[in-house]
Amino acid sequence: MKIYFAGPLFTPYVRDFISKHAQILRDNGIDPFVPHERFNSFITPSKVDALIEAGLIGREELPEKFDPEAVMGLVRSGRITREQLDLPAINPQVIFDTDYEGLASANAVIAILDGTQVDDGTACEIGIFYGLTLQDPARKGIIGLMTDSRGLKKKDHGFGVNLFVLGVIEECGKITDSFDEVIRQLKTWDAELKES
Amino acid sequence: MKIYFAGPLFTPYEREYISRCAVTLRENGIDPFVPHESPKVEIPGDTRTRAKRCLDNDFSGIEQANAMLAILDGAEVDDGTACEIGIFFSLMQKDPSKKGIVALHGDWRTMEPGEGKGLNGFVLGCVQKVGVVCTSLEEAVQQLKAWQAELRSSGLLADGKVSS
Repeated sequence: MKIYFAGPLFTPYVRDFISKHAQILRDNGIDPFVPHERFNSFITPSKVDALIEAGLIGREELPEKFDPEAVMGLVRSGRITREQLDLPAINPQVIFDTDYEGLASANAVIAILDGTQVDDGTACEIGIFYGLTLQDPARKGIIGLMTDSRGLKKKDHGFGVNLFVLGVIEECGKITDSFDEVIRQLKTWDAELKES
Repeated sequence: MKIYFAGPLFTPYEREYISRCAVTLRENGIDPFVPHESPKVEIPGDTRTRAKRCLDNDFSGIEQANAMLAILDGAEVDDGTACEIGIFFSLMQKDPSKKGIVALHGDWRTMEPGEGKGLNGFVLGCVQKVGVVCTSLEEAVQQLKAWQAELRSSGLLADGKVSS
């Protein structure tokens, strides 16, 4: 089953969290679309080697094992440019088109809900996918993951999530504070899909 | 033409601003669904959760709307608003009577080049895909009127009674 992994992917530690949990999903036979990994996929070992050979970066600036996220770090810090790596331009249309492709081919969504509010991009993706569930029974639903202590304190009151967003998620899924529960739910949906 | 008016409505002044904008819209022949103004019908024995009631109430407005007007202001786009933008985008894909999303944006924190972090690329991309970002209500009204005229000429306008 394909799923879309939504969350606030703006910091290295959130991306790290998402990537690690995406790997756990893969180990469980679930195929997640991870937006930042999709963008990282344009970075190849040969492109990085070419930059090193041209003397634009030193080999010691990167980990020994090829790690696109580390290369992306050099881009984000301005050490190298997107052009030098021949990466596609990043603008709202590219971001939307790339991520929408993942969303539109997913059977389910996992959404990280942490933060003082649900990240606006994540909330928009939740809305889009909810709209898809209304039109296509193969869209099983949305599972929200809350790890934010401010949300956990309000576990019995919708985890402190915006009432409308909470209503949307509960209409086609649920919110949990346990990643094991996320996997269980995704596997249940996967089994339902295979049955039908 | 019916529209859904999305925006952060958590403070008295936010609600007041939205309500004032809604008056201007009505004066221009546009019929806005304003979540905080919509009558909350108490059903005896209603077992729905508060969240479900909120969803049912607001979704009915989104479902009937031919367009959406969404306020993007805040340190980031309000999550409820962003979610509603997403829902409207999805419903638009299979409903030609849904014309698009007009966003109202005046918050310096998310302006380019403002002092904040800029608008979320996905949300902005979504709005730009099916609409426009405006910096004044007048501009937004013009776009909504243009869509209303398009709907009229293609016979897709359900609420023919409202005239400008």
